[in-house]
Amino acid sequence: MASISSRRLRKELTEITTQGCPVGIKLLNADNFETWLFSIEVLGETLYQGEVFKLMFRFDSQYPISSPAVQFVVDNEFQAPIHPHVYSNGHICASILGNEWSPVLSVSAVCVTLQSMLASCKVKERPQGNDQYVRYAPDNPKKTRFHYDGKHHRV
Amino acid sequence: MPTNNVDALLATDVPDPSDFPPPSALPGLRQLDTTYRCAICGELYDAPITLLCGHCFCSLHITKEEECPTCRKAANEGHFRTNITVEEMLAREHQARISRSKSNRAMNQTPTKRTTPAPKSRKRRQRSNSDGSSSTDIVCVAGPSFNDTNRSSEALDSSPSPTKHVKKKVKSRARSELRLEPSSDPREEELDTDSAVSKVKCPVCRKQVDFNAINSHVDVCLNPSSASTPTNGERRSEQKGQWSKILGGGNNNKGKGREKNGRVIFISFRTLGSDENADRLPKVTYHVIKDKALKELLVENKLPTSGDRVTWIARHERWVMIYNANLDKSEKSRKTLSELRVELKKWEDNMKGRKAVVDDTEAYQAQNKDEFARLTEQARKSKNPKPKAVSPVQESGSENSETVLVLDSEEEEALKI
Repeated sequence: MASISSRRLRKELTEITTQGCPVGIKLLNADNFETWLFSIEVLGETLYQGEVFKLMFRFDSQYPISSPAVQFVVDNEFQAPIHPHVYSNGHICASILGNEWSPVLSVSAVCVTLQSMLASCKVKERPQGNDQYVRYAPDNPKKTRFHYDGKHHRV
Repeated sequence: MPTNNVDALLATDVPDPSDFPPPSALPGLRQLDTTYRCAICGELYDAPITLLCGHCFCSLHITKEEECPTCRKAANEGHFRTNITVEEMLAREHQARISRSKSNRAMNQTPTKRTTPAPKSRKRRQRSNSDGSSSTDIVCVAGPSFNDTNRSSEALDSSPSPTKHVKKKVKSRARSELRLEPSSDPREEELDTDSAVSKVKCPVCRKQVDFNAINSHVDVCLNPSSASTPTNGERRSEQKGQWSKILGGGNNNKGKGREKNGRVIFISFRTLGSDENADRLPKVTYHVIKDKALKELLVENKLPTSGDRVTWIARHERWVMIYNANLDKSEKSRKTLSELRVELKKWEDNMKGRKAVVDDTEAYQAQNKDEFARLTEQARKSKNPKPKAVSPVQESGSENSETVLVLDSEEEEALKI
């Protein structure tokens, strides 16, 4: 008897492997039901043309009731996209990852939303107060209480 | 941890829509199967609850929601209703799946090519229901409580009434895949919209009655002799007494009585719908309750009192959830209390299992020595007053650090100053 979160993730994984990820998204690693890694790129004419980013999903036992912790991976190979909602440590300020999360959303739904967040970007810039945030940011972006400013931060 | 092992889980059989052949082979079947499933847990509906907006979820998973997870329309528990029809339907579907998965392959090989998926589902359904009692595309087995008095017998020819609102729901979810039989009678559709919304169960005889007619119907039910004769004053007061008994002793004054009754019936829908004898457990406001009282609550429900207060609260909260969700099932498919206790135990074990437990701390420290050293180094760096702007702090091991509050607008102001 597995928990709801494992069963649900198992179903999502099956769907991804049988039906494939949405365009521009690739599953890099899903060895367990705690952390999944995806590569994500935005196709078409956008500011991020040709750039590939790495997304990390972390799930807790309350998934899908509670949202997954989603962030861009910053390492030797990958950088976080320069975007007004993405801090340089990879943390993302998006309402659907916080208070607007709904348990009917899924990993691929989040990927697609982030894709469109990047695609609709007009100016490549870091969020206000990026340096300050990054200095004290917790490891898990879910521990940050973002303030979702209707104008800028709603995705 | 067995529950978190992907290989173990992939090996276990978790049924999901991909059990069906891909759309290229048999279009629509996977989507059809998706409509049988709770959008939250992805399982076949267990004790399905319908929200005011019409979306359906497992009772256990919807308890904490204040808005519909699918359409984000406001929801509250008073509007939740058990969906007996869907439950029955899925009980049959569950049985049918087992026999069907075996015969699926055989079916694939049949060369008949159909254009719409609907006839297929009908065929499959008929296979599972060997009696073939109904010819509708979705065979819903009407719950025993469904007794639609408003419906004329002519409607029976192709669509038994209880199937109607389910059909509609499925239609709206999977309109593209499901070509349902069009209703031959336009009035049927109209009637259906009405009946789906405004049918209530008579608390006395348990028949489905039109919402507007419920008051007079109950009057008749309570006093069969007075069915046609106008009630005199004495009788009226007698009825009132019976009313207040049913509705938990509310003293209805004359002016507001009707409206009030209507509302009370509406609110207690779910309870009446399931079983009057089985009371739902009330939710407890834990932070105003003392340890002793909390412990008593656990003892009352024959739950273990091990652990600390936090554990007790979690345990009792979960117990209330599964207990009430169990009441949302039809009576015959309910679990016993001891089964529920086993379920609760499993849930608790699972929660514990999620926390990584280090058995041999020394070995663990030795094993992760490099990692710890790296993290310490990083922490020192970030303490440095002038850190690099784009220093990767992620994985900085600040797992337990406090919540950082970021208020963009405030910050902007601060920057201006």
